[in-house]
Amino acid sequence: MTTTLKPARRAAFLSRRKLLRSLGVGIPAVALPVLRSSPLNAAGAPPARLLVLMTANGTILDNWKPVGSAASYTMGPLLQPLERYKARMNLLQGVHVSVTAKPTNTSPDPHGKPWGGMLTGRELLDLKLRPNRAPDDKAGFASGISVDQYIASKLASGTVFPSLSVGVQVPPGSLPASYTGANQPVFPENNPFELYKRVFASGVPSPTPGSAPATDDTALKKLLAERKSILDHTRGDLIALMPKLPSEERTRVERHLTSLREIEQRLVLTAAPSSQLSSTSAGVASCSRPSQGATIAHMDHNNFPKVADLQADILAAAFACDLTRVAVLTYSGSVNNQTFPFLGIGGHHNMSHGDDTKEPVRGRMGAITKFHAERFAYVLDRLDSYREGNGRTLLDNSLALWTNEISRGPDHSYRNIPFVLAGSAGGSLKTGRYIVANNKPHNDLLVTICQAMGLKDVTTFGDPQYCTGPLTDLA
Amino acid sequence: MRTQRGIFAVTCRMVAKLPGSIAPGVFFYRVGHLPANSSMMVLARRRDCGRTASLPIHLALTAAWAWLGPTGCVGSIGDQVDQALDDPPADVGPAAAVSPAGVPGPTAAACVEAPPGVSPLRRLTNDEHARTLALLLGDGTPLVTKLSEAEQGSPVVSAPWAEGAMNAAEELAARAVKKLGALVPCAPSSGEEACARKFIEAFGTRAYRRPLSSSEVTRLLAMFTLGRSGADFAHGIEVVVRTMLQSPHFLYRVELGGSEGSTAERVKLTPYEVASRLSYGLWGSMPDETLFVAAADGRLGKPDGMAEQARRLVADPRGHLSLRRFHERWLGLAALASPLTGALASKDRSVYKELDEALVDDMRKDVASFLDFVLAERNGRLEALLTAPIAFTNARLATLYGTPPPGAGLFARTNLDPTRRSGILTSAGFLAVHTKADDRAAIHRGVAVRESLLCAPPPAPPGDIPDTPEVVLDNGACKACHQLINPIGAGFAHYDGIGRWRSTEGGNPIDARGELIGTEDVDGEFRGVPTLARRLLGSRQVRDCVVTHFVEFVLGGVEDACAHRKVASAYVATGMDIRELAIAMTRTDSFGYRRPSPGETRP
Repeated sequence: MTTTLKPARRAAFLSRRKLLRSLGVGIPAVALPVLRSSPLNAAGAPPARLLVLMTANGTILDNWKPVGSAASYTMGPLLQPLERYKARMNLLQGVHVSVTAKPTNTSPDPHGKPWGGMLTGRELLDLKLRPNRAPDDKAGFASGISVDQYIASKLASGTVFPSLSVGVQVPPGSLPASYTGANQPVFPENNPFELYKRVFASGVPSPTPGSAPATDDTALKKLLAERKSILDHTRGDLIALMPKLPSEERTRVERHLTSLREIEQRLVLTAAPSSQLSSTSAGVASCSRPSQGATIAHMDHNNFPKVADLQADILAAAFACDLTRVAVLTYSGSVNNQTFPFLGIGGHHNMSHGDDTKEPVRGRMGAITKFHAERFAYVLDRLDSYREGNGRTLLDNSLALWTNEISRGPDHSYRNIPFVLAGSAGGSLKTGRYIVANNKPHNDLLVTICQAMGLKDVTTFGDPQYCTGPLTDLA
Repeated sequence: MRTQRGIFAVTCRMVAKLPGSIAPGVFFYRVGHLPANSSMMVLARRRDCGRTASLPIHLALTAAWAWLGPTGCVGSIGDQVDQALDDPPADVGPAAAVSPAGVPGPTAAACVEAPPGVSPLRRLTNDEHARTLALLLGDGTPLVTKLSEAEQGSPVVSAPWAEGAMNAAEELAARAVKKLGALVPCAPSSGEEACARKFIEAFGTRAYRRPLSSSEVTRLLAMFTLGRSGADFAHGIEVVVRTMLQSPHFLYRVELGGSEGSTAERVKLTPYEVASRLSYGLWGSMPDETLFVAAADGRLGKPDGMAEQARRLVADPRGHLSLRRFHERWLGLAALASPLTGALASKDRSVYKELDEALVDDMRKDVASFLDFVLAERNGRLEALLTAPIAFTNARLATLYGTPPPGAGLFARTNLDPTRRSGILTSAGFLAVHTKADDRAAIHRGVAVRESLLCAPPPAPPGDIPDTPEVVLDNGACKACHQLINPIGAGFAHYDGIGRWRSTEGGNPIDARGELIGTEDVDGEFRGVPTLARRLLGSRQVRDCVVTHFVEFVLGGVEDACAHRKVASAYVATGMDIRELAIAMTRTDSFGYRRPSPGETRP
């Protein structure tokens, strides 16, 4: 398989001295400019970016669905917060997470199956392979790579982060949506302050509490050299272990090795001479790291809107600065019992089992979807705030997919998932449509996503039994 | 001998769907509380896969499957099953073979222990990582891991996790070399390289939890030299510590085993690997000096030596803490440590106005103190755990329990009314964790008893779940499972969502009649939790279930029927003392071995 996107070497970094100084006194409240060269692909256009928003517990489909024809329709009331993006997105029905129903997909949790299958297009593994899970969590890990990780690995874009996995109040240990391979989950980072440090202070030493920060290039160079040597040492230990391990175990060691490479790549980029890092291109809005306010209790349900928007700020900036091109954003996790005190609404999952034809369940479930739509609209706002070289905004150059593990709470249906696809991935997808596909497996959608992201040779994704090719309705 | 009712009870209780099937409509079944990998399980699988399709139980199960759909409970097929099973084969289920000690399992002749633990490489959990660092570096090292909090339970190392390990290593190494004299066993003035070598060998043995090979020492010396250049001796040591703390030999529990004593069926662990199995199993942390000595002198190569060390570890405060963690995890009480998630967060705050984070923390302390009491003052016995009418209260909890406010001392031991309160099952923490919002039928308390104490969880709920828990017993499809759950929950009716006692609800007196259905040996009606607890205490199924959970906690999820039987006998013989259970585990033939991984070839 080939990609039309060639690795475009670029970098986006703070002045090292400034950053080091600022880290000595904690994260500054004032944003520092991030200078960069313009992210361009081989054809001279900005690259496509993929963002997936995962939500759970289903919705009130009647109020989600648009009314009208594919070309002329009115948005349903629950998606009203997205009205301003109507022409720049597609709404999709008639697509099912069919792999959920595969007879061998016998992981005991009916919710986990579409959640773990959503981005992988595969069934789940035996529960026994998932030790230390929460006692009431009864889903196995997924049995293959997820579309985000697949695209990140194939793009090999040389970005500082191949991908980012970000969460908002996802309970620790909750079933992830993203996988680098069978039984290789990628967990989301819930803490916007940790994420911020990781994304915008990448490769730079974390200050040792109480000690003076390194302020000169010699000390920094020595530290980076040491880190690189230690990574090499760890790599040597892992490689020496390999032949002593059964083949199944080796894939896990390889994942560790990949992780080390990711860290090392950032060290290398950080250590590059400043002159290579400071060029800007005309016509590209400067990307800057977002300002960061005071720390808040990031797992407190009262703070959900604030945390969600902080994570959106970081993700949009990370895209704009081309620190990564692929991200998965998870709100609350599979089967979550998130509460919405600011809406006066209690546990989401428990409620989703209720009778959604009647109040109060109907109104409350709808209100939660509408709330998520508001947050998603904020994500789109952030993306749309960056204008890129080709006359388009970052939103246009992105594909932002919002999905749900199920369509409806009471029957936990994996059919007719309410998919929202915003942006056109740089013009790859026509937008402004309401598409009702003819009962297609969602693996087809995953193929279409790969193709929109430039992987034109991808014709099947996930379990081939549940894939018929790209989703022609969306082409 | 088995009666028809017995067969019905067995199928009803024991059958749950297992992952995996060979074709649509043909499924594997898990039989009873038997561990999935046991030899009995293999037999059951073979039968159920239709290779010997003549067995009536398979037909009955298949019929039940077809009739109820994939999430139904076989129990509801009632008479149909009885009629189908007029003359069950002798080997139909585990209840057919009951050992003299009252522990069900394969007969002695068939009993060959399979060793626990599949993986030769297991990543430290975040908690193990923090505790290991604290023990390794000593001197008040803070309990930090810097590992991504989301990654609990991940089998693999991600970039954020590896970065967390790097950050922890850098922070703690810098801290440790500030007190160089305590860290390094020699004076650098006597020769820096010799001293560094000495440090690498001594510290490395503890960090990698085994002696280092000479090539490892050489490579680490090179790291010392790298750090030393342009800096000082201490910095060279710091770089060595950082390196070791990021090595897979530190970050994973490595159980490669030795070639000596291994066969195709089992891999014999080295004495140092046994030391780690003991310390991580019973302490959740690295071995101490005594364990290293026992590994070095070969005592850990023999079951007696293992048991001797196990006894010492369990008696240690760290063993006590670990046993407490077991109870907290087993009974779902660990949720009290994160009040913003799960059932606690879902409760209606307009109904439970006093429920805030402080009260949840009180509940956590009450439960922890109660478990300490059971472990330290009641010999860790199941009887005390399930029946002691004791709580540890402060002013807020005294109000909740309806006891006189304690004096100035926080969390005073308080005697409760034994007709109303009975051990952990009536603690505010247990009751609050296992009640979700609007849980009128106390379904989750019933589920908790089935999962934690009977090891007979109901199958996952099907798609269409009505909003009205009361009616599910009238609904054919719902009844299948809920008749196993709701009548147990009904026995908890006296306790509200945060564990307060109530005598009436909505003006009507509380009816706390409950019933155990579909159990192996404790079916029957009861009234209130104290009676339920007594009943459970007398059940062989409950004792077996404790063993299953404990073995899973210590060995990480793999259990063997033969070892189970042996361990359970010892547990019963000691009056169900959990500490003796820990020691008995190490006396099995299999404790010092590991199961080969699929595809693993031994020299």
